[in-house]
Amino acid sequence: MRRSVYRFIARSQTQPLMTSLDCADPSMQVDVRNQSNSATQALSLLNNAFTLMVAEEWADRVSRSGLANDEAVSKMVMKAIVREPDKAETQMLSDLAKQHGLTAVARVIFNLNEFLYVD
Amino acid sequence: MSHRRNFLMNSACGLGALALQAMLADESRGATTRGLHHRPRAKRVIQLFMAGAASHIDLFDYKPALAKAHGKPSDFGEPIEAFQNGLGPWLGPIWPFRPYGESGKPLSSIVSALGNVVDDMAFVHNMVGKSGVHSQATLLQTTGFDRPGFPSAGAWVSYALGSLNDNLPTFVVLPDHRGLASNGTKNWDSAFLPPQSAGTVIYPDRPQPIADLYPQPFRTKPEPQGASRGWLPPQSEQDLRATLKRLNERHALEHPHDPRLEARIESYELAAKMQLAAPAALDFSDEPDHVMKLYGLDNVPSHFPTEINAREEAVLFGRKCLAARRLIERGVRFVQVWSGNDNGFPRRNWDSHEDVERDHGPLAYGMASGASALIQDLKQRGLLEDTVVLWTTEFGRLPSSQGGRGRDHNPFVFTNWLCGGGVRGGITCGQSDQWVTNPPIEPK
Repeated sequence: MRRSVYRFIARSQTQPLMTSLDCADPSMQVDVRNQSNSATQALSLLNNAFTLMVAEEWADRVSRSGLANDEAVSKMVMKAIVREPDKAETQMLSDLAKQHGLTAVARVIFNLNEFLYVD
Repeated sequence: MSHRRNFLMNSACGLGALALQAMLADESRGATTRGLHHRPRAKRVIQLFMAGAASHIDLFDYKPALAKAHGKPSDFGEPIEAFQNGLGPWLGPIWPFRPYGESGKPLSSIVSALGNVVDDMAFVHNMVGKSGVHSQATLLQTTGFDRPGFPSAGAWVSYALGSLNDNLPTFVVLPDHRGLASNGTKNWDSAFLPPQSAGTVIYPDRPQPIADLYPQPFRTKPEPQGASRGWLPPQSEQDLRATLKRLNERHALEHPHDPRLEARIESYELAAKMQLAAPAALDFSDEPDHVMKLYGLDNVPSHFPTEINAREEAVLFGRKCLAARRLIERGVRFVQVWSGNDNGFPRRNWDSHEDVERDHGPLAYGMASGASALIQDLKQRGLLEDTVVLWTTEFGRLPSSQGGRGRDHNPFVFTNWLCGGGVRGGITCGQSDQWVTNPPIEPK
């Protein structure tokens, strides 16, 4: 199963990010939802202004708590996929945080298969 | 259940048949081909779509009888249902026609740029629509059905033939720079086919031609202390992708029987390739001067008047045509090129109810100069051999006038033309009657 959100949508105005993430055509009945893996979908999850904004917000919130990098990334992984990262994962993400900040870590987490797929 | 071949063969307006022809071209490698009188060779399609309904009467379908009857009260000899109030006096062709090429096909002066490729073009003057409503008529020409829920021809072609290239999407859409036509994205939707076969929208004119190809420099708030700057430079993108890949691979190792995981990891690799391939495909700086000149892209003025004008339309359409050739050349299967957007005022599409000369003029000039350049360019590269160029519109326009200078909708008969991909050139296949309102009645 894929992680999903419910929201209102104007039938005549499809939202490009939602469309790339397999949002059903709102003008007709859809009995089975598509689950695609396209390059354009990867690009939207990585680069869409909405994903960037949310990544940035999250990173700012975590950084305000003043935690060291390894604790911060551990907290973020826990929040997103409800498990502790193992040692190697904590190391990789802390290294990324050290180099490029927690927003980069948030972007990685939003693009994890483990985040996207619930099962 | 209908067999895929029957379905494609029966779908309206020949788009299905085109897809079928291309499929057979692939299937027939080394095998015998049954049922076709020629060797199929189409591998790619460029569909040029005139949104709003281009007038066959004023561009391609010359009717001397109508020119002679100009100004007289119209009499169709049968009841005609107009969309608005378009049954005024006969309105002769707005521009003069003269014959071109060895075939001597008469073309209107506004599309005279197509004169030097007319011997490669095949005109179909007896197209019949199912509806005079823009949205339905557009769907019929993009999907073969006049209601939503069916895949675009481009989606069928990408689904059936797959990619020739693993760096770019299989089906690319170049919308009018002013916006989308009737039905918006439904014209390139995959409907019940896998979503990967849907069209990918590219705006060659924009600084970021593909949405989200790169992260936009973006910051909602002032930098908080100790926080997140530095996640946009290329090195951070590389490090981020590398970390993501390693984490996803570790996760996939723990879930060895889930093919979705590998597919998603691959989709990031294709995305990275696309980040390199797409800008290269759209960067015209390696085109020699004579090619830029051919497409009218030499000495482009830095400013254009705010009024719609022929030179600017030629530049805009020419740029899309050149982008289409570069994409086709790199293995894209199907490119949909749009001229005109949805309805509005002043007219920025082909829906010339008020004034054909004013509203068709710049669009027709621009279309003809870009399309002619595209055909010449494909031909000189040998690409016309296996690329179909298909010119379509929603329906035609009435031979009678509306408000003196305009024309109302005419789904009863209109024109499409094809070129390349094995289509015999210099021919007219199917006629309309003298008032350009019906296909002639076949003797029984």
